[in-house]
Amino acid sequence: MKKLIISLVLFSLPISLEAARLVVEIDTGIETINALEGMIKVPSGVSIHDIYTGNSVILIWIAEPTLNDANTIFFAGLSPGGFRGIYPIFSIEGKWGERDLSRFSFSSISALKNDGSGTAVPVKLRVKSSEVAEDEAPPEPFTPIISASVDIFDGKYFISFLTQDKGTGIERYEKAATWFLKPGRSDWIEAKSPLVLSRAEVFQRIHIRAVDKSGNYMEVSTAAPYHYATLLIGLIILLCVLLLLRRSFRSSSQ
Amino acid sequence: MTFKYLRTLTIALMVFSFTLTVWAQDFSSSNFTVTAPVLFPGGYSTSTNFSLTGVISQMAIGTSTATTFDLFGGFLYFPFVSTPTVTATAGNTQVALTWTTADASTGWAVSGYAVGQSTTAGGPYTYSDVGNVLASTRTSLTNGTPYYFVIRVTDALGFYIATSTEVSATPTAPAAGGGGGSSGGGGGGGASYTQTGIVFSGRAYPLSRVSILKDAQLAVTTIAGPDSKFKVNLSNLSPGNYLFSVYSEDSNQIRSNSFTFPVYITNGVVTEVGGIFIAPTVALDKSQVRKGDDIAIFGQTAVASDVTIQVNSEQQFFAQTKADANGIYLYNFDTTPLEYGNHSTKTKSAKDAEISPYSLAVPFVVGNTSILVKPREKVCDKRGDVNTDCRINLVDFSIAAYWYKRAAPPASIDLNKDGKVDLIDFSIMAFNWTG
Repeated sequence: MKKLIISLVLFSLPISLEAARLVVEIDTGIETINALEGMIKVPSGVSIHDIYTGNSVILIWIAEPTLNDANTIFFAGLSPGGFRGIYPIFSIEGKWGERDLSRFSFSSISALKNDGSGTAVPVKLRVKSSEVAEDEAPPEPFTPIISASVDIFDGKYFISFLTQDKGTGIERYEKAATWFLKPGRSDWIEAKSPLVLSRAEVFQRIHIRAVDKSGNYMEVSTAAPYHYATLLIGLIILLCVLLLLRRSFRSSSQ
Repeated sequence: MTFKYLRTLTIALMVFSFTLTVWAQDFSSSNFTVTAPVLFPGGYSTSTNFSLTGVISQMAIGTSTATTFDLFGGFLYFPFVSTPTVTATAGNTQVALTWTTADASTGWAVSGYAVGQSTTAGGPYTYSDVGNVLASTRTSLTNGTPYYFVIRVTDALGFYIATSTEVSATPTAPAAGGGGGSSGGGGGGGASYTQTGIVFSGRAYPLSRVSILKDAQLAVTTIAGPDSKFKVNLSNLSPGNYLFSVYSEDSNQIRSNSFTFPVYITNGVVTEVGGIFIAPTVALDKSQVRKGDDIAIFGQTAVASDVTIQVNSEQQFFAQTKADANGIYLYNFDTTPLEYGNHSTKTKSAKDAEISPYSLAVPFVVGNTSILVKPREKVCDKRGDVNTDCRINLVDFSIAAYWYKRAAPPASIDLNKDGKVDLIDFSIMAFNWTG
């Protein structure tokens, strides 16, 4: 009996616990889908170090895959235009044994057809081992958009931004606002889209930096709604001051 | 007496001639009517196992399958298959080809593909069947020699039913010394992928604006030529998987549906995507039509292309018309055979053996009165345009994401009107996405 218990315990233990990467894949079969959400239950004994969204078929995350306290990864996202076939959704880095692969379980999977009505269709999800690839490329270039809507933030101006990274995936976004110069190191603060602009920021230039999980970054900027008007007024004031100075200098020299 | 025999003979000959003459006639029963039956395409119904030499009349649309043959019953008015869009990526002594699915319906079913390869533009091509797959890598090619490829679509009976437009690629040996290294550690786009890019070509509408989305964001726009053709390239891309979408807007600012396809971009290689054929736009002059009146079905497509119009109701109706020199088409559809209730119409276009996908379906109602479509309803009527700026993009997503699973969202964001913003609303938004 004791022998049996020991052998059962040994059987339940993973064969070898190694840092490795898994990729979560979707197979849509013949259906073209544009929206997906679901949960993955991580088996007990498996430790997750990080989750990577680089090179994912999901282009816009409503809820980025994150591990919660219940050892579950929830995710939801879109691919405008839709896709059909087998594609990676995200990858997981952690420690597990080979036997653990079959113990990852999926639940509440919802895949919606790209038909304009959001019809639910069946899809297959699976996890499989994956290579850890080097990521030296920065995230893709992108264009932040500033807008306002009565439906959110009490009609205040907000900035939306999004990009993809073909390697490890986006780690975070950072924002800085300046009048003329490039932002300094201390100007950057972490930001999430959409982001409300403060009273001062609507007159400034807004810089957004997308940083991937390998530390590569892509930096872009856009003028806030009143930035150019502010620059123009500033320029006019500067010219007036210069003219006044010149006039006073002339009158004093006479 | 002779006259009597002659008269009898004449009558007999007349009756005989009438019975032999085959006229296109309507078949009807209490359940259905088949109007003006036509068997199409000719010579299709013969195999080594059987031969169909006449019209089998009064049978239902469908497929009868046996172990030795497939019988596509009914009258194949307009069997449909779209031509695939082909992507060619050159490598070292090889070219990787991928293509989009050829959608087939109303009598045709895709069973596989064949790759045609040539070193001469326009062929002749050497074909090899590759099965029902969407990718094939052609190996053992000569570096520096341009190769030309087409993809042929095979139906369930083994017939070739469509051929893509030609794409080309020149295999190249990798540059000595490796190169290509990116400046790791960031620095605002420091990667040196100057040779990495993609070229798109195809047909839209004459002088229309063609938009290319890269991973859901507007990457480039171009204007199609007077012949409806467009060609545009994107460079400085990082290697990896991309989803590209292409759409156009017609002269009435009506948007086509998006044509989306995945492409893997390889470092140091310019990938060619050819044979994009943007589906026609469709509009109607009435949202409700009085039964028996005509409804005008119109839109824009490639110059002088053949347009097939499909009206979906319990029974499908087909009609054909031709686009003019500006790509405009118009067909007045007689609604007499339609039942009262909801119907829809969609169109496809064919030009020089290329066939577009079907357009979006536009709904209409057959009733007792006619209601004209207001001109403004033609523009900016897409669901998902939350901030009403005629675009469905990141801003609309941001607004909707704010209300994701929150109570009492505004009606303009709850796209399916179920009292909440969930994945279905985002799916509707993603379908109508303009970038």
